[in-house]
Amino acid sequence: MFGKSVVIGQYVPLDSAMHRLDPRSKIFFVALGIVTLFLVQSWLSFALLGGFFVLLVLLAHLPFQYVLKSLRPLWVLLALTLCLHVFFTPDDALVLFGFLRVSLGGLFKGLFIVARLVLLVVATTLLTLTTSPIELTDGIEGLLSPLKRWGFPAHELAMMMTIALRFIPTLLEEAYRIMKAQMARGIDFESGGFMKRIRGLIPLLVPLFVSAFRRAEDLAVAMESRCYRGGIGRTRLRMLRFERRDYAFLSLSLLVFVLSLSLSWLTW
Amino acid sequence: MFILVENVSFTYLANTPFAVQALRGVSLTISRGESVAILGRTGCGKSTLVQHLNGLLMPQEGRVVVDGVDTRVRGAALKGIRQKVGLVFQYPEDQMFEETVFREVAFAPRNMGVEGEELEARVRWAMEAVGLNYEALKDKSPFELSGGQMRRVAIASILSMKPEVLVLDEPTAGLDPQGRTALLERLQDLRRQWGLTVVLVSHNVEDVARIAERVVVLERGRVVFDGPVREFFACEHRMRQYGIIPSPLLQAAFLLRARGFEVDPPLTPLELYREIEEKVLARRKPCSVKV
Repeated sequence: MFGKSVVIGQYVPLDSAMHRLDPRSKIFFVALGIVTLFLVQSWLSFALLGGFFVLLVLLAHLPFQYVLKSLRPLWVLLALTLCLHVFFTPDDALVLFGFLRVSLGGLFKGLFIVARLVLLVVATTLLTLTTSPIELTDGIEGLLSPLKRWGFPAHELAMMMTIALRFIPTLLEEAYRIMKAQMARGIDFESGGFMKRIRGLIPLLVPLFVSAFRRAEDLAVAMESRCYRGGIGRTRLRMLRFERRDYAFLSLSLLVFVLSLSLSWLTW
Repeated sequence: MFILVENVSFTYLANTPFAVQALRGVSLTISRGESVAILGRTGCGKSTLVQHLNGLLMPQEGRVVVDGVDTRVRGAALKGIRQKVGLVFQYPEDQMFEETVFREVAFAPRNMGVEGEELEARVRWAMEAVGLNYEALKDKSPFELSGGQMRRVAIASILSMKPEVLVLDEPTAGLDPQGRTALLERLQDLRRQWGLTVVLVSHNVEDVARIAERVVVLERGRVVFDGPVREFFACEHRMRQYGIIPSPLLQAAFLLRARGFEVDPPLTPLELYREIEEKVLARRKPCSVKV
């Protein structure tokens, strides 16, 4: 019951232009976007990139609160970055609070870095919110497969990622079940000192590992009995194909990125 | 009454888009010495209800009272409730982790603060109560036992708390026929010899017929039947309506009834034979065909 609800990643299954894109073009987009975000140095470029990302969020039919939610774990980092810059920039002090100097230059610099971080998260969130984990691993495999020529195990890596993602909810459910079973035997996971709690984990972890190993063995047998022998000669159900929309999306992204880079160099 | 469940409702992941209401206003009482079977199709709320009986889940509405104590207590009182109501989960052997059978069975009473000779006596009693040889098995690893033995060790590891009520969620699932028969016999003995109250969750009608005297049927989180086992088995239509498939024994009785013989629902093959002898064969002339 509990495990069924555990959503891995943040994928929001919708049907939108962004969702239909080839995962590889979205990964490309994120990689190029990150590089651009680190290179640009002007507010104007940020505004352009920000506007572009907002447009993409709209295209993906994503509610804005989903995108904002992904920023939540970053609040502390953002606030800390801003504070450090504001208080510790050796610059002309704007206001003095005892030993704390508030610097205007630092404030700007801090806001700049915060904006950069926020945009970074928004760009990657655009990928994870519109791409299912399976598509994502397919995309990674597709991008890494040119390296196969030099013996890089691209398919095996992708398969491992897929299996890991597939079993996270299963193992969570299992952990929850075992925890309850041990609670029925009088163990208390919630109170007691540090050592007592650590020792309390053994009755949870041992059965969990036993069942994980058993599952792994079953899975291996099931895969072998269906003649799985790695990626050689394997065809796929969903072929990744670059469509016209992917070329259009990548061209538009490239255009925006180049534009913002040149804006940055011009105004800097 | 020993356990009182009053108007209990429970929703998983309440206030999220994933909310699933598992129980809707369930009321039921269980008295000392009873043997109750909780029946119903998959997802009807059986397992959720059972986890309310020992305070693993707390009712979101209504209340559960065990031996005069509301389950919404904390600390020692909650441990007391879990000791009085021993809950055996489905596939209980999955929760085993100790190096020896003895330590496995001793785990729960140790958590309850039992030590020394009393502990050993309890482990011995619990193992023998489920038909395991204490001397031969106590130092073995629980992981090298057979499936049926593992299941019994797991049940012993709950029994060693000396619960007053033993709640079992599908105790015979995945056992071979011999293991199943042996386990059911042991459960009956536990009731007869030690006066244990037994609550059995199952959708296996044969298991229910062997163990239970009373049947509670859940359907979509509601109690739709609560009465003697024979009364429930008397009506084929009702059983099927709630997704419970009659055992072959009952099906034979229903067929005879459809032919106009007033056969009572049997719980054992012997009962069916007696019913046939009395109500079917007696009405006919002795068989003229040579056998």
